[in-house]
Amino acid sequence: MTSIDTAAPSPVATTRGVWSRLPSPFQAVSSLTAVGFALLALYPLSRVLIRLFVDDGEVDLSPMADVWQQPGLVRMLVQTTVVVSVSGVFAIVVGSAMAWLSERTDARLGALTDVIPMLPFVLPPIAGTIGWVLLLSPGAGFVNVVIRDITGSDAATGPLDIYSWWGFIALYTLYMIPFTYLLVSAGLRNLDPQLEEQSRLCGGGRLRTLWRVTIPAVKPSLGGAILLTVWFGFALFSVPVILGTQSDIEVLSVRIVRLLTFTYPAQTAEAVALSVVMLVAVGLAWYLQGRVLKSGHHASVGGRGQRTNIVRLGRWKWAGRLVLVGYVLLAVALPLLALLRVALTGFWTQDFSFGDLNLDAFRNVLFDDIATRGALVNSLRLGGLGATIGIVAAAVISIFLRRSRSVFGRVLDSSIKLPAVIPHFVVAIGMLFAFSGSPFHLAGSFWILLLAYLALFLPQASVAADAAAAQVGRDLVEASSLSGAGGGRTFRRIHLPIMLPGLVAGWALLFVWMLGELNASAILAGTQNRVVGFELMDKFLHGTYAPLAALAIVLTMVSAIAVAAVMIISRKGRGSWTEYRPAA
Amino acid sequence: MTVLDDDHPTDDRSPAAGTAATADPSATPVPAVRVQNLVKHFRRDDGSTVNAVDDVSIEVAPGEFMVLLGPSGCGKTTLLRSIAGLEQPASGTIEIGGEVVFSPVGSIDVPPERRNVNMIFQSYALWPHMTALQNVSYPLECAHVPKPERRERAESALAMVGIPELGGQHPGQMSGGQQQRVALARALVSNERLVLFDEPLSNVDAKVREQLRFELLSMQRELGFAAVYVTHDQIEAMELAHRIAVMQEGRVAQIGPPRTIYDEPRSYYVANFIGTTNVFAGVVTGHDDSRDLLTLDSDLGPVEAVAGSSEIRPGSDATLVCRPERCTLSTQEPEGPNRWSAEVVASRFVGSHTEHALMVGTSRFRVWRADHDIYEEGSSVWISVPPRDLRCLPTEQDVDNDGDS
Repeated sequence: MTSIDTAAPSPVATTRGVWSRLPSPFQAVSSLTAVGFALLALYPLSRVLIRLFVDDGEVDLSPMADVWQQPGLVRMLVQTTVVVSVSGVFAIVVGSAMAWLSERTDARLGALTDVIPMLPFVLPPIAGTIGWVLLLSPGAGFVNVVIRDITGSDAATGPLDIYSWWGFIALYTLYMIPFTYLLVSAGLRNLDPQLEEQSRLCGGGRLRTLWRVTIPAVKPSLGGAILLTVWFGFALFSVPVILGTQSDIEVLSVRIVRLLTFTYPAQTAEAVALSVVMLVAVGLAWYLQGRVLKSGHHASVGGRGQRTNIVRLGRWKWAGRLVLVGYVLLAVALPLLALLRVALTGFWTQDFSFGDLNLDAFRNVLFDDIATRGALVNSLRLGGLGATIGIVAAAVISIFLRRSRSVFGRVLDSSIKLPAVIPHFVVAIGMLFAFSGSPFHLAGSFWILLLAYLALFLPQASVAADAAAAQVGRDLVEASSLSGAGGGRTFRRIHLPIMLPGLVAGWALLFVWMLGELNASAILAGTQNRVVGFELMDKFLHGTYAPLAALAIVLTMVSAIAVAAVMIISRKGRGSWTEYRPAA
Repeated sequence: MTVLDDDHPTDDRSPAAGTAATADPSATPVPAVRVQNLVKHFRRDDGSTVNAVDDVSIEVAPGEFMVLLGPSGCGKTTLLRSIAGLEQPASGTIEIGGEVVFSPVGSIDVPPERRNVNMIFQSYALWPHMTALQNVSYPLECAHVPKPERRERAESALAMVGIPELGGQHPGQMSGGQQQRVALARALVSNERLVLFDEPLSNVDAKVREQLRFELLSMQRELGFAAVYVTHDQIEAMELAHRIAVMQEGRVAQIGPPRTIYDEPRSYYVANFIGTTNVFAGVVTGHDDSRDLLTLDSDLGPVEAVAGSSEIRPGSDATLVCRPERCTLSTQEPEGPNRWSAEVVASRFVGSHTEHALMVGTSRFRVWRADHDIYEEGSSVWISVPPRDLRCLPTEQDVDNDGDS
């Protein structure tokens, strides 16, 4: 007998049933989940694109023409572009400087390094903007009052005015900085410091090194930062809707919401056409970023953990620290203090005495005012349910896609992640088309918001889940299969426990995002189905400042607890085994 | 030529011969694993395909220890993973314990969890969130073994691999050698008749590796499971294997007991990969039928050698190889064929033997002698090789003429 020459199966061979690789129940469930969420992203978007050209089953190109007939359209577009681009430049300069300070110099402030990108989640822009209005409103703004007292001015208003160009640009910049900071500091962290050291040894001075080595190397990060600022800037709604009330500056996002919700009947077609403008702007930024990535031979070198030789700033160290601490003060501390003061005194007033402090506003918001409490409960339910569904689905999908590296899998993956690069307004409008009418009839309901939140935030959930899934080495999964475990058991016993810290952190972020969401809510939330973001905007427009401030603080506290949980979990890990990395 | 027929292992270490003979001499034992004409290719980024496993057929008897040996990229790991069900071959069949687990005919592809094999990974693949005991009882849990029995069997598996006290520890708290033992216990606990090993010892240091190798060997012989073991370390292969399959570019270059592979390599590739060898070129001039020896004209003059391959014919180009320890050295010219005057480049005492580096004309030679004579640098000595120890092999393309392995 030789082992080489017999091609037919040996006579003793038996076959225990036919096992072609039919998908196991677990695989079936996960592929269905992936397909479902891909459709949830694609279907509404396709409805938006179709609506551009087709109305009631007929080809109708009039919206494209009508949109140019709107009053003040060009002025609005120019104003939007100016606000976004000027604040974008400021945000990139300041954010990069802050990133450099905390990654490469002795001005760095330990924990603050990781806190800065989280700040907008702690105090959502809608709450922060209202805080700044309380501080810098020309009449009763606390800062203006203080300045007038000090200078002995008799004027009733000024000298500062938040309802102005610089007010817009300052707040836009404030909320863009975390994005630029996050990307550039990640770029710096991945840049091998030896490249910079080598430049110094070659005789390049500190500035030349920065200009010739450091900046070129983080160019991809800067490209990403530009993309994000454009995406975020065009879609930012909370700042302009608040500031726009008392200035004649109008931006794209506010116009879109106005067309959809403040006019009757809703000018849907025009809103869709305008949202395409938004899409084009983001597409352009995307294209530019692609050019940046393609053009250079970038150093994606080095791993983590190299200890950087930090730059000693000497006397400038404290100036550097002032910049970092100053940002935290401006973005969170000052507006929060203004909100606290209004909430606790019950009025937006210059008079202040400790004796007047009371918790009436909080009691009002949490217990007495049924509508407000309803909005809070609604948001908490949406956040809790949405974050849970989102992160579990993202985990299942991520594991499924890691295993099947087919073209189909990649299409699913990109579809699910598509909403990350599309302005939230466009997605929300798509949701409106897709689910408000027949056969779903979900208009103004809890469920349409839940679906919208899931579509909007699943990209972020997927990023978190992908990172967590990457920690589960292929060997660990294969070893489980060879031990006789099917897909479901492997998911439960191997994937989930190892991914858990990452998933919990992802859950908390999703929860916070959904809790303070305003863009989609402004379009999709009905009067019967209020959410916190919508409620805050509404209260501001009606001038009920104390309950508004109280609600903003409650929102901030819930968010801060969730964010703190994220930081603790992602910093500490869980017990001894997280340190373990299987050998290569 | 009997020396070439190494499909009939005469080595008494072979369990196939032993068990079959005692059980029922007429019946062919059901092989633990049987791979036939297996092909697996990978697509490169440019669209071309590479055959990682190229028409491989191999059979492992119950209780046999088979080592797949070869350099990285020779397809040995892909073959192992195909047996486990972790890769999907393009064609060919795989049977495990007589059951077809992969065959394009009838599109059979049994998933890994139903193949009744276990595997030890190079990384050990211990689940970091489980204790050693939980890791080891996992296969039993999957097999629905009742809880008390599970614990008992997992504990005795840990005791068997010599770490009964570490059951409560997490992998992160263990040394590499201890992790290796846990992985071994996990692979053996469910008493599979086939266990696969993917370079399991390459991540532990030399001393531990030797110890573990020894224990693995005695455990395998005692428990009697069949093993397929992938390694690139020829010492490891020699020590563990009943049979070695030397792999080359996706194919099996030669398969046989370690001694046959070492003494009777059928190609220069095998001779060079297993152990150290001296090499020079020649042309076959004739065949001495009475002594079954070839005569050749070589770079070193006329030589007599044994044919190492049926491809050798009079007139064909040949590569001549001999092992360093089969050469003898003498200061006086010896009698007989295959003797050359050489210049001593260096003599080094390395413990178990003394290594001599020599030049015969322009050919480098390496000779190992246990007698520890030291020759002066630059002095001349005589090398001689018995014709039985000089093997004549087909000349391969791009033969590395260095002789170093």
